[in-house]
Amino acid sequence: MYTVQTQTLSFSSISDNAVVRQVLSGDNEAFAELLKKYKNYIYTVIVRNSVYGSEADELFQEIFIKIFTKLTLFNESYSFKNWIFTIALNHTRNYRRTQFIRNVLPVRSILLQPDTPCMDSNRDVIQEKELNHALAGLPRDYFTVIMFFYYENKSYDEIAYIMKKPTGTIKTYLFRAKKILKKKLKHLERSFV
Amino acid sequence: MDEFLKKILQNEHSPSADALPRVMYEVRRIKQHRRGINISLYAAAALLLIAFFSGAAIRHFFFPGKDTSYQEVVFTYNNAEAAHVAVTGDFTGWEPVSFTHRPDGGWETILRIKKNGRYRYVFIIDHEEFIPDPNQHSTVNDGFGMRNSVLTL
Repeated sequence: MYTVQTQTLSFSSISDNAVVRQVLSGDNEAFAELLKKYKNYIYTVIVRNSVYGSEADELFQEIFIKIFTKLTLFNESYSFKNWIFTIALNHTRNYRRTQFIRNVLPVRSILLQPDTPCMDSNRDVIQEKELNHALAGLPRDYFTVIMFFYYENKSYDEIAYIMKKPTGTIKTYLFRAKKILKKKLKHLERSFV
Repeated sequence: MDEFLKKILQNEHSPSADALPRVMYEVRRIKQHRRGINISLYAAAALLLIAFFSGAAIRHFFFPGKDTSYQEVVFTYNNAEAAHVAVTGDFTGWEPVSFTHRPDGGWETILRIKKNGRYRYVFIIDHEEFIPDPNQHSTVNDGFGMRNSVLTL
């Protein structure tokens, strides 16, 4: 007599590719797990393109619906996370092209003067929104390199592999992106110290 | 500049609490829609043939009567301040079905639902707020910390 031991795998221990296969086989709950795993990641990409509040929530919903409907097109030889990053970035940028985004105006109306007292937390929020607006104006590849390098802590080689470009090109992109950001944010230069 | 970018860009942002249930609601709706198309394409002819030759067809033609495999269920919601109320769930294919506004301020809809089933559903208030049915004690976690009502017939 023998007993059969079964192991229940949590979704966290299953690769994204395996979860995608489960979704494609009809398991709705599997998609919920992908949604929970990457919700903050995708939402942060949206915010970094200077879209906030209810607009960001709507884009978030549209992006994940797009991911769900396009799952049959996902190529398992690529990273699922990078695939959804591309979808999120393209969708958000298309949205910005078709809408006039004004959300930086309330920020600019209270630009810090050297002797303006302010709460640290307000200053941080303003700096972040200024940075998001500057990031949203970067060329797509520059934005991608900045996000992969500073948000995801990827190395030059890892980014080069993902973007299918030489490592030297990635370093150039990063250098140019930071130069553009520094120029756009020069009024915040004291924060760079 | 590097420290500034790291400090800010490492902040993660979260969507609103109801963003995830909304996505799953749409996912279920899409799935139901696809399923409906598949069934109609591959089963319609077979069903027609079976129905035509079955006793049910003969009975229906000659002895038309009430279909007892369905039950009428009344859904009500009492909130005079709501501008629009709908129900969505397994029995609607996750499409919203609007309530009627009663003269007394309450909201009501009557749906014919197939018996011998267990159905998840929620109310949608003013096209944006998803809540369980206040009149239904049986609920289930939808996986995002929010509750779906459960109707068992």
